[in-house]
Formats: sequence, C-alpha cells, structure tokens
Amino acid sequence: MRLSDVADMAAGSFGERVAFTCGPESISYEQLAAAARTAATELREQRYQTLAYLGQSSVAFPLAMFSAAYAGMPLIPLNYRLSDEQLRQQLQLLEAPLLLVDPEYTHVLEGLQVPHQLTHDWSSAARTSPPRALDVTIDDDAQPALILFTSGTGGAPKQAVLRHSHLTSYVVQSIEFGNAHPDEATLTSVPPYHIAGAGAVISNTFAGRRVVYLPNFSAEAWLDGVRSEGVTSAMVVPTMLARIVEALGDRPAETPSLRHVAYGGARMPRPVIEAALERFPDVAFVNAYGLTETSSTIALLDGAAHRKAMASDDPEVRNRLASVGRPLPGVEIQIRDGSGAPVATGETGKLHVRGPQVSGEYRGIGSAVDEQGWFATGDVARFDGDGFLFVEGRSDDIIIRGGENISPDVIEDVLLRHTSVRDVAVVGVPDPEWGQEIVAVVVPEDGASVEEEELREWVRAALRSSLTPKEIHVAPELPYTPTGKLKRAQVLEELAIT
Amino acid sequence: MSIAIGKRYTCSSCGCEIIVTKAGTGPLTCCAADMQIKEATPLPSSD
Repeated sequence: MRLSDVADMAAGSFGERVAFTCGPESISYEQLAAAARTAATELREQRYQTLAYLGQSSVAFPLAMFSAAYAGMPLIPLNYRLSDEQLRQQLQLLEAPLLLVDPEYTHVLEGLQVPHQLTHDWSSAARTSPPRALDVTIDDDAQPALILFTSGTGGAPKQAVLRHSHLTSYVVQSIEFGNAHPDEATLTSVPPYHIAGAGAVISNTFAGRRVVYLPNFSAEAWLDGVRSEGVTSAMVVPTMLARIVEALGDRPAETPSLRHVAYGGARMPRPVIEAALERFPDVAFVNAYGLTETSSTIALLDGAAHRKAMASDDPEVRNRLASVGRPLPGVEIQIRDGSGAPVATGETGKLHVRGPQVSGEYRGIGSAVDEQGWFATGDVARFDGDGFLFVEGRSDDIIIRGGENISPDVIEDVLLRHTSVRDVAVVGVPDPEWGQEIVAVVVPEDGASVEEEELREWVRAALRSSLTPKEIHVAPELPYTPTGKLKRAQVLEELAIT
Repeated sequence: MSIAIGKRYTCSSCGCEIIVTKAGTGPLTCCAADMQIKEATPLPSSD
C-alpha cells in the first residue's frame, strides 16, 4: 500500500469530512485527494524528482505529502530551526527538487539556484486549478515516500529513508480504517520535519480524524485550542507537557472534550507526567516510543496502565510510569548484550527491533538492518517480568562508574523533584579512579538559589551514594534540539571548557 | 450480513486480506468461499 492509497481510501469512504484545519483554513479528504492529484500532475510535468518543504505546519503540509506520493517522488521536510548555513547544505543535497517555502525562510535561498514556490501560493493553486487526471498510477510501495534528516544528537544529521511500505505498515497494523467518530479532532503541535508530524498526517487520515494544527506552540494557545476546537486528542513532546502543567499551576485543566494525550519524542520526566495525570483526571495518557528509522511508534504504554501505576502503592507497578509499555502488533523487540546475544528478562542491554515498519536505511549510506532484519536503535533498555519495556537512554549516554552502568535519567528525575531545580542534565565525565564520574548541571527555578551540598544529600537520601553526583554545576539553561532532546554531547563540551 | 467500513476480512484459501472502504451487504467471497472477519487489536492513537 502507498500513502496515495490512504488518501484515496479516505476520500472515497468519508470524503466530505474536514481532514485538516489550521487557523481559518480547512480542507476535506475529497478536496485533499483532488488537489494532491492536480499538484502531482504538475510536479511530473516539470520533471521534479523531489518535493522539499521548508515551512511550519499548515494545510499545505498534508497536501505536499500526498502530492509527492501521487507523483512518485519523496517528500523531504526541512527543519526551519536550523541555521541558514545548515539549511543551505541540506538544500544542496536534494535531487531535482521543488522547494515549498514559507515567506519567513526565503532568505535562506539567496545565492542558491533552487526552484521554489511559496507554500501558501502553491497550495492555493493546487486547490483552485481545474482538476487534472494523473497520467500514471504508481503501485510500487518500495519507493521512498519520506526522507527525514535525523536530529543528530550524537553527530552529523543523516537522511533516514522511509518507503511507502514502512509508513503504511505502521498504520495498517495499529489502526482500524475509519475508526474515528466524525466529531473527533486531534491537536498537533509537532513540526512537519519530525517523524511524529508525518505520522500524524498518515494515521489520522487513515482513521478519519480531523487534525487541528497549532504551529506556534505556547501552553496558553494549546489550552485555548483544545477548548475552542472541541479537541478530543493531542500529541505533545515532553517539554510541551511540562509547559502546559506549569501554566495550569494548581488549577485543574478544564478541557472537557479532551480524552487522549499521546507523548513521545524524548524522555518524559516522572514529575511532569505525575503532575499531568493530576491536572487532567479524565484524560488517557499514552507514552509512544519510536524512532525516525522505525516509522514512528514501536511500543506504547496505554492510558489504563498509566492510571494503574499512578494509583498503586507497589513500587514496581508505580515505576511503570517510566515504562514505554509493550511492543505494537507486528513489531519484535530484542534486548542484546555486548556480544549480540539476547539477555535474560530484567537485564539491561541494547534494544534491537524488527518488523515491516522498520526501515533503518540512510540515503548515501545504505541499510543499517542486519541479515535477519534487525535494526540496532542505539537505545539501552530492559523488559520487566510482566513484559513492560523500559528505555534507559541512548547507549552513548549511559555512565559507567566503577563498572556499574548508571542511567542518567534516574538521577535527573530525583533532582527535578527538588523545589529549587527547574531543569537538569546528568552526564559522565572521565575520571582516573572510577572510569567515569557523575556530574550534574542544574538550572535553578527563577529566583531560587541552589546549594551543591544540599542537592547531593537530596540524591543520596533518595538513591544511594554511588549514584550521587560528584559535582553539581549551575547554568542559566541547557542545550536542546528543536524537538526537545537534550544535547548531552554539548553539555559535556561546555563542562570541559569551564 | 452487513459489511462495515474499516473491517478486515481474510481468505483462508489464498491468504489475501482486504479492508472495507464502502459499507454494504455481504457476504464477501474469495476462492468460492465466504471470507473470514479478522478481529482487530484495539490500540489507542499515538499520533
């Protein structure tokens, strides 16, 4: 199956429903499929080979995704938060592209010969031109559908290639076609260049659920959007949920239409999800774990598991709030030790994944999937006795102190509970005696002062002395990628300088 | 026997699988036999 089949199915089965809304603009599934076919004909006639998108979320984004699919070329959304120089480098890597660009980013193109159109002009033309029949129907689902530059927390960004079969396997295996009630709407604040932004287009079109875009996230705008659009579900990254909870303070959320909130993209701090469960007592929270290379979600912790964990006095059950739940249907997950052999249940090792939605392919590099179809995610994880998966971090981030593997997340969660700590990063620095030592960089709450010895005692009391940071530094802020992933490599570099 | 949008059916002879995109009256047949409905695993939306 191809992404264009998803658009055809939605247009044929519930075509009159509103599919996407952004501000005053809306488009139905029927209009979306018709405009995408018209735009695809134009793309083929002009002999473009790639459709690139440098812009924020809008109705033009799903239109671009489906137009590229009908035309048989990949869509490449670019990260508008990158520097001009980084964007120029990426633009020069594209093959015979048409670039759709928002007016605020056209300055990036100065001096470059890249054919481009303003996003809104392109989208309006596709919607108002006389409908045109496609000259071909492509049924090859092994063609690249989407190319995403990975966030590159650990090095230079790579171009992850996702083929039609990967993206459609994900929706076909996890969602029932057309299962959304006509009144359902989901609020999306995840940008187009993130796999979850693309996933939202495909999943919700397949389900028949209206997507409401909120391109410029703020906690107040998000809460207003949920209330004014009668939003029933939403997807956020952890930093967004932290801001929403902070904005609510002690007040309940008062968002009666909202029933589901999915989160993912980075690790969720325990204090944030606990506060969110209190402020949104009637919402089912879903922790979705996945990677760009796996076409989004491969495991999830559902709403009932969150509530059960929150209500439990059993520390093991309670701790499931830190779990990413169980693998999706069709997805196999294996935890392996350093030699590549599967570990026993409960033991920590390297997370490998296999399934029809797993790509693991990079443009210009090739496939990172082994002969049996397994992809090494680079994450370190373990399964508990009940089959719940715990992701402990990137394997590069694990601190090894005196032979003990230490996940920085555990220490960060404890420090975040201290009232004077707003944000924290825990890293391992080289140490002649222990191999690595634990160092924390703390961002104080506004107006608060932090005492190093007091914070060390706070960690020692909650955990144990071998997990207590040797040093605690104070910084005004921490470096994050645009999608909320902590850049630990940069934290380490800055520590080495000071 | 009504056929509802979103339901999946499989053929036990040839193994093909279909997703219903138009509601109607059944039964759906393949390889000269009724197709079997496939029970879906309900999952919460994650995006």
